[in-house]
Amino acid sequence: MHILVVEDDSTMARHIVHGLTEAGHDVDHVSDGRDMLRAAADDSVDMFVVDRMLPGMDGLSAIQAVRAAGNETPVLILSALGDVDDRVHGLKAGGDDYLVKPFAFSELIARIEALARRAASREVNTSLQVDGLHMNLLARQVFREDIEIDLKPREFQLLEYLMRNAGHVVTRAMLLEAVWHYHFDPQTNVIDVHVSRLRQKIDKGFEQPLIHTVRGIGYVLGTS
Amino acid sequence: MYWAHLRNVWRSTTFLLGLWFMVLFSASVLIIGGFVYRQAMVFLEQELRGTIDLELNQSRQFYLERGEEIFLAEIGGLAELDPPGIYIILDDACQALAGGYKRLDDDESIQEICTGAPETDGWVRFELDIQRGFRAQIPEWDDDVYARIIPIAPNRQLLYGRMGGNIDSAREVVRSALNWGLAAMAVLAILGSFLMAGRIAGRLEQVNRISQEIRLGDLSRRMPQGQGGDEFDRLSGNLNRMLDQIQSLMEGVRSVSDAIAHDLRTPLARLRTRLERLRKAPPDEVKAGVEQSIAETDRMLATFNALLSIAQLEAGSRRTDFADVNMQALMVDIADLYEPVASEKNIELRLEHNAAVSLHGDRNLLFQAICNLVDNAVKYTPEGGRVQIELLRRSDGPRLVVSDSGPGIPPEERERVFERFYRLDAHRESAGNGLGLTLVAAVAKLHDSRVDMGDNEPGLRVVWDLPRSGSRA
Repeated sequence: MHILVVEDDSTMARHIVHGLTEAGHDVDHVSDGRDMLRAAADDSVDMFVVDRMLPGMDGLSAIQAVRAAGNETPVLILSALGDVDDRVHGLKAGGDDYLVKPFAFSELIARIEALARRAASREVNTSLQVDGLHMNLLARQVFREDIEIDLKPREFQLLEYLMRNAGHVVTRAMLLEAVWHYHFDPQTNVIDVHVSRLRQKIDKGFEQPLIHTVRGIGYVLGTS
Repeated sequence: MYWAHLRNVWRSTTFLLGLWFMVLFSASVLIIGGFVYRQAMVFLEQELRGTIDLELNQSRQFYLERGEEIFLAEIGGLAELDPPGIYIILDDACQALAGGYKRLDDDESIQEICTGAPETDGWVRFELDIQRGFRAQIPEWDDDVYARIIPIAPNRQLLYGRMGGNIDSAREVVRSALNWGLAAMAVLAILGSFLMAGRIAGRLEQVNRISQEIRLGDLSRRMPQGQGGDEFDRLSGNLNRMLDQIQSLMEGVRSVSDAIAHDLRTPLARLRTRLERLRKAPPDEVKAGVEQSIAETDRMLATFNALLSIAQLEAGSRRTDFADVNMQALMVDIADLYEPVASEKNIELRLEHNAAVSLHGDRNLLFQAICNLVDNAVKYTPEGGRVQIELLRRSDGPRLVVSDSGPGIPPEERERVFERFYRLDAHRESAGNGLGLTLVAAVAKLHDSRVDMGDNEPGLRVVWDLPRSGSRA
């Protein structure tokens, strides 16, 4: 995936470029909003990672300009705590996700990949399938190896999000945001208990566990 | 040293004010004095005229009864008996015939006086030259004479005059009193203004000096404050209270930075030790060690993020995301989020809400703050206990109550738990960064409300009185 990092702080930019390159992406870096607009014009970029505070043209204006030109490339906004809180402004301006600095790098990668998948699967699914786990989104039913699993609404939403991001790590903050629609990083084990309940229902009695804990980061669904 | 400020007194506001008051006061004294003087003069003159009329009447009676011969003979004697008086008999042509006219300059002058008399109803006023008179030794004769000329018989007029001695001396007394009085007042006013200005300048100088000392770093100094309760004492009192506040704020900042340094030094030291050990560890241990180190770093990052969020909340700059929040739905979400954690510990988690409550606020922050309260309740309540979340609608705004059957918080520590990194000794070993309740307090403050810790007998009862949805501060 071709990612363009728009960040004026050179240390931060080097850090992000290095990390994303290691994760297997093709990364370019520019340091202001005008360069971002120029890069957006040639359509080769798959995702923008944009710092909100930029010299010259600020991040939000640049994103608005990109959207105004009809470019629907996903945008992840980075913002330093201490700026006026503007998650909503950022998202209104056309950002697709929002991450506050300082952040754990794993969180950044997880969010970038989730965004990419969301962009790839814009079509409406009526069912999801992951390694013998089948979810019927219309009937709200879940089967594993043809055995129906009875899930509560929240568990269903959790599993849906995990399945949509199968094979990729999702963080606790991402789960809280996707299922409960509140945006903050839960520092406690509330989410873990929900996931372990879900795990009980999904994995109990099966040889191969599907839900895996990624230490210090979050969870991943899949056999591998 | 103390009097050094006196050279500034001449320029001081108080001194100038004193002088202005002196001018105003002098003017009013002059006006009052002038009025009194005039009234006194009028009164004294009327009295003198009364005496003159009385004497003239008696003399005419005497003239008419005894005849001119005897009257003229007596006139000299009368003048002897009545030193300030003067009798003159004149004919219709104003020729002096007898009496004390010799005391006047000459016959022409008495004639002149007499000729003008009918126009003023007989009243005349003239000067008497004492040097020519026979009673030059009597000082009060050096004066105007008030006199009246009346006809007493055909071709006969009588002049009776009196020295205006009383009037003149009264005039003198009043004048000198006014002059001396004004002079004394000026001296007193200048002296008084000077002393007053000196006193005020002295007290201000003290305030100035102490302010400077405080500015130079001695924050423990305080303004002198008398018992009098005058405006200077009140000023000093207010300044002192302000200084107390500044000092406690500065101590607060210091203790916060101390707490941060202390609480972050421990994990950093731990991290360093682990990395040190990993340098020589076999490869299979390295991976686990790095994982642990990353987790440790993440916890520290989370702590810093929490500190920054709290600082930002306390600065009150995060109201951009305020909107109407459906509190009932939010409570349902919280109960839903915490139900598994609670049931895992066999804790009964109950939600009670008696009405729909909407609030103007930040949905994410309110959720996070209430989560922190419920999280604490579930964490510290022993297995098989009870946690209750209530949302009540009251006339002065919604009330949120989180109560549990846990160990509670001792009364003396109920305020301190809101401080950064403050943790009860009993919970020091459990998970947490000691910032949860600090965030709750900051969110409450951002929403113009406060959170109070109470006793649930047994357990903790946290009461959060939220503002009415109408108030959008």
